[in-house]
Amino acid sequence: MSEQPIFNDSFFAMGTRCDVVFLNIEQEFGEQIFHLIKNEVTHLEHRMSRFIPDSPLSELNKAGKNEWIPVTDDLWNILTICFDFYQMSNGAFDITAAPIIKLWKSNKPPTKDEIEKAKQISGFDKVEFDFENQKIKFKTDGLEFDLGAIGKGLALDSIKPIILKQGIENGIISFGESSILALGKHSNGKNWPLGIRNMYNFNKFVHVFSTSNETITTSATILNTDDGGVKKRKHIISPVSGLPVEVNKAVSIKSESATLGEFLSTSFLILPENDKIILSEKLKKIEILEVEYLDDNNFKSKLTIL
Amino acid sequence: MESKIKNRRDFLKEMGVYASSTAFLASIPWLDAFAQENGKNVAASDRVRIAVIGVGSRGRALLMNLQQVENVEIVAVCDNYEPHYSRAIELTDGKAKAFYDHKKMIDAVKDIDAVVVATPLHEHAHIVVDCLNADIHVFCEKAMARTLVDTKLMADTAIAKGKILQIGQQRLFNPVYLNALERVRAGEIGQITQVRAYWHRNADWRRPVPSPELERKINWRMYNEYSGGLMTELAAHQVQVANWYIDKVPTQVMGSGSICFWKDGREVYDHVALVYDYPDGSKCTYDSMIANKHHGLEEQIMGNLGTIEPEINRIYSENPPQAPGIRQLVHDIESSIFDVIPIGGATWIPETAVQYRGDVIAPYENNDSFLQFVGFAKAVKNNKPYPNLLREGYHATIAVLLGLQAMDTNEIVAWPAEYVMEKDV
Ligand SMILES: NC(=O)c1ccc[n+]([C@@H]2O[C@H](COP(=O)([O-])OP(=O)(O)OC[C@H]3O[C@@H](n4cnc5c(N)ncnc54)[C@H](O)[C@@H]3O)[C@@H](O)[C@H]2O)c1
Repeated sequence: MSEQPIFNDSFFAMGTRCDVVFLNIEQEFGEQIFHLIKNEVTHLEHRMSRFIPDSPLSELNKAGKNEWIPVTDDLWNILTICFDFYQMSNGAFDITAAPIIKLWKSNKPPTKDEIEKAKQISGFDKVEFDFENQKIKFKTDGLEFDLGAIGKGLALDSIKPIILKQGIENGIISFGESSILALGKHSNGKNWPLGIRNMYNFNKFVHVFSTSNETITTSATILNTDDGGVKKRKHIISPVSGLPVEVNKAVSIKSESATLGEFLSTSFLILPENDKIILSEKLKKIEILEVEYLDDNNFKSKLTIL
Repeated sequence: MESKIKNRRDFLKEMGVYASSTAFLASIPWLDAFAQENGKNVAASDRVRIAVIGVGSRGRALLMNLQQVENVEIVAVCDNYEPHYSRAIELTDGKAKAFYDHKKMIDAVKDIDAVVVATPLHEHAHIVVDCLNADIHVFCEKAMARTLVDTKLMADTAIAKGKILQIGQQRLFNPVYLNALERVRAGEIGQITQVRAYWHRNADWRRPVPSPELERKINWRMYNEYSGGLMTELAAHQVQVANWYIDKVPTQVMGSGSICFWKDGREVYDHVALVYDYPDGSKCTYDSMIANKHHGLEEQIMGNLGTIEPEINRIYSENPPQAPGIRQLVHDIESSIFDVIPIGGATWIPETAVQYRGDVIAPYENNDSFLQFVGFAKAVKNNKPYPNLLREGYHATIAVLLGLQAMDTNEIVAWPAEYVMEKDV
């Protein structure tokens, strides 16, 4: 056992597990902070989930065509950020794409016709913002916001100032190990070494991010199962084409903001090379790891430091 | 009807206790009923001949369950209320002999092996004792009786006559409860320190009365003379579970009862809250009310390592399994190792990383009210009570009656030594 007290607990939220680790901290104090985190995440989830029938987001989603709907401050911030992301990514990152994504969840692939219909009731361009009065309007019926792609990032970004204010310096907060905030330093005084595994060779790392007061977020179309096997998925859909991303790829982003990280990891899975370059020009203090898994148990990786 | 009848071995499998340790099986003697080969083509003389006394709401359901038990024949029915009397005849296609008076029934039908008693609470003791004295085995609905003295009389008579007296505590036969109990005994949730049980409904608990003079007969639950209200009707089930899981007899009970919402002339409390103390310091806290149903019913069995919620078939660990990367990280820090922390592993697959709502205790489709009769019929056929089964129902009734006493007198009531039934070994 180490001499320093370490606090570790977890809870379930946002469809995954949130693990909390603090270094050099008394158990009781750790518990207090843990509760703050849990409350914050629960609160966020209750406001932003479209699965909770009376959440403010669900209320918004009920709105019909051409109604101006007033939006609360917190949701307004999130929606406008997501609108920026939508524009920055040329439509690749779109929180209104649920109808298209849903199509690919069934066992048989959708028809062209079905894709066209889904496109008609989705697309951030069908949302109008009244910036002065903080209102939005849907230009079509059936439009819905889904913050699933970015929820964990928002949660990490809102937890961070809360725990910093409590004097927590070193620790890890992880949502299912796909969205991670690394605070301060590891117990050896160095940056946290967060390793992205080679999915074909579970004991090897493709890259190790040296992380301090930053977040790592990962999105992928391929993943390891619990028994170390590999599973390919077609759940990342390009809202523009309406088609799933077919290459076996994982994108991990190191950034200060986890929200930005979630946006980038998803966008970099979808975007063509050219658009990625254009998007990269607007970024700084970001590291992007793209790993493409080839059919012959090999992989290609590319690390971009901006 | 035939297709609904199941093989006993299938039951055991369904009960999730088929693969149980022999030690556990031995500790629950009434599971024997399910462990033995089922007798096909039994001779008519091997049939168990049963009469049902009190064919009201519960009695009707019990009768229909009994009709699905192998080798059981319903030879007589008895109810002193004309509409239920006629309904009982219909339910048995006129095959059972019908009576208004259980004594006349006992006299007239000579070869009754067993009776099922589902009359109102105050009509349990004298009927049960009459039957036992006539050498008839008895299944009697919970709670056993309206008074401590009657409860003891019933138990003493059964023991003296060597007859079966099985009380309708159906959770004792419920696969989920049995499976959970085995896991408790194996230490999975650690030391139980509290059972928090509650039963909440939002309804006046009254039944429609066809004419005013029938009020007390139909709504017997409302009157102290006939019923202990929420305690005998609902708490009996749940305090039985607490006693069973904690595996001790309470030492004392304190409580408070009131008529808080349904001030409609009823005499029994519509709101009760109690604490039962056990010799090891553990407690059962109990409350029941009928003006809010948000929380429903549950027995939350809490140990230092986990929690069981049997009503919803859930078991929770105090330390649910960790994400692999974080598990390694914590281990590394504790061992002063500074390895790379693997992230982006399998746990983040959205559809497998579901919300932690605990685990299912056991798959369960069966009906415990039916299973208890499979056990009962087998015991009757063997002409032998299961060890310790009556003890569970007995202590449950004593507990709820003492709880009532505590609330009525506003005093802490100690469990009298003469109301402790020792375990058979
Ligand atoms: N185990 C359970 O889950 C469960 C559920 C409900 C009720 N119960 C128990 O079942 C018993 C009956 O409850 P219920 O809701 O069916 O009541 P009920 O009033 O619907 O039925 C009682 C029946 O007994 C008849 N009866 C009364 N006195 C009689 C007598 N001396 N001889 C013959 N028949 C007589 C009545 O006419 C009536 O038909 C109670 O002890 C109750 O606690 C158990």
